[in-house]
Amino acid sequence: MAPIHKIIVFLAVVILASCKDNRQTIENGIASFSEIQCRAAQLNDRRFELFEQIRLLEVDTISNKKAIDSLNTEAALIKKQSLESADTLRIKLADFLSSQKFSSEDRKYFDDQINALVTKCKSKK
Amino acid sequence: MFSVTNSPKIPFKILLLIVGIFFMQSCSKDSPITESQETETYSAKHLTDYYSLVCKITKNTPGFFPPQAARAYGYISITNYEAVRNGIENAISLNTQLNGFSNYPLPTPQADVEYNWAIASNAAVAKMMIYMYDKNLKNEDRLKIQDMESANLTLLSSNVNTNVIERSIAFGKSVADIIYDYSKTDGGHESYLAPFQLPYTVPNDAHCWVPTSATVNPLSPKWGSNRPFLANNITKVQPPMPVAFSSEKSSEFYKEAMFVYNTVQNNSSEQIEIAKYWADDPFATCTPTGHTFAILTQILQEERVTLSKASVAFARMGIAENDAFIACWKGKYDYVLIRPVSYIQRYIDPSFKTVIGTPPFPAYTSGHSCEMGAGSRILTDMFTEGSGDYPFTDYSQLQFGFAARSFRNFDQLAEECANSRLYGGIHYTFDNDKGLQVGKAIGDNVNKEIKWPLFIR
Repeated sequence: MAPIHKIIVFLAVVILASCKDNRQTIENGIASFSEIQCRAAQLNDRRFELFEQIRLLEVDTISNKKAIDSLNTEAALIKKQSLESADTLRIKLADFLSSQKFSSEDRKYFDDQINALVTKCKSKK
Repeated sequence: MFSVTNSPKIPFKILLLIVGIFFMQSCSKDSPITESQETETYSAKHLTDYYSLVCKITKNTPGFFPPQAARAYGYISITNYEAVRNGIENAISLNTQLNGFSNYPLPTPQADVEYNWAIASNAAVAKMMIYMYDKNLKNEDRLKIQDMESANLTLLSSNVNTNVIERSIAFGKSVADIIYDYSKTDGGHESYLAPFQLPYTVPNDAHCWVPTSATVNPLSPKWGSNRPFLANNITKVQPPMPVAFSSEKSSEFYKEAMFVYNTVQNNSSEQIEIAKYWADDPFATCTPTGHTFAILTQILQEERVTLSKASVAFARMGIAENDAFIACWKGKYDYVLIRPVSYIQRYIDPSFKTVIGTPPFPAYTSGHSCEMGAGSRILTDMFTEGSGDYPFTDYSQLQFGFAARSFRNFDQLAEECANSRLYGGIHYTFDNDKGLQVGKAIGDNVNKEIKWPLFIR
């Protein structure tokens, strides 16, 4: 093999390896906060469900007062839990995204992976 | 050789005077005199952290509906700008540029002494946040602001002279005091205590808004008469009359309502997700303005901008968002237009249900479209260098369990936000189209009418 060919092969291997490294970093990063991301997705679903239930009951606030109050109590609890998980997740995400210099391909890979996780978490209910 | 006898003699009294002046100078309080560093030498981290906290506090504080939230973001943002703008080259104060602001002269930094603009910003923003949410601010949130101010100060004060620290804090807080006085006269002061601005009687006409939920009064009916930051944002930017109301099946209005109905009946799962994404979130939203500020904050972090550019960006966005809500609310109560859900249930299908809850105020124009229209123009002007292209993924809602959403540019972002209200079944398309137009015109006004510093990093 001519020296120039050796250099090209070497560079290709280095580039491929570095791509793989970034993908691995992204996968590891997402894995590190997948549990809390799942929790956030499930809390999101529950907030929308509760809101929908309250909305339907509000057509008659007098007859449904007890049920509405009960759902509102749960809604307050879910809101508190949502804000707490959001705090933790926001910091973890910001730390992860600012800790590496990602290319636009890496970003695309991150977006696909994180969205796949959110979808998976929502379907797990 | 040098001749000693020929050297000039300095009279003893003059020599004494020179030595005296030298000693007096060296004993002055601010010795040694150091120039203030420019704002662009500071990181924007403390500021972006504050905006994350503003979002959280907006969610947590009663009475902060979209107009009230936009106002709070607006005043916090101009306060920060005025606290740091003396350190930005060629930055002109907003004091002479915003509506009625010159009646409240801002403090001027002392000449020839040093200030730390990051410390001034830290003090100003913390004080203005407390002012804006004041009477409904929960103790835990008040403590969060104080803790953040204190933690930031510790970081920012490293190797800074005590006199500089004290002077910068005093300057920042005095800017907040004056701007708070200015805010008291805009018509929205402490509106979070009574956001429904009662008494208000909804006109009794077939085309008029009727309650769409248990909330029987519409929100903030007098908000449209608030003082905007730029008068032209109201006087020159108003939507045309909406499509003429009619219950006739052949009418344009009926067709518009049918279009909403058919869209909701045939929504794809993607469209339902989009409706929820921009809704923003039941029980826990920092309102559309909060979402737009979260997007701006993310971009500023990704671009690793300095305190200088972050301050200008937040000020532009704050002015645009505040004025977008005033203009939008003026239109809403000029026309008091019935919501699609009420019209459809009355004339098309009594069992019709929207995808998301209809908020308690008239339809025309859409608040989301106005505010995101305005925001999109600010983002385009600040970050795309004229091309309009800016591939971007909004990660701000991941923390609340939504997927991330990607866009080619800020126009596409604004279009999706506006369309989400159609998919949700809560707005006619003309609410969204005209809302976007109004918002974009306001954003353009803010970009052009105010003399913003150029070439900032």
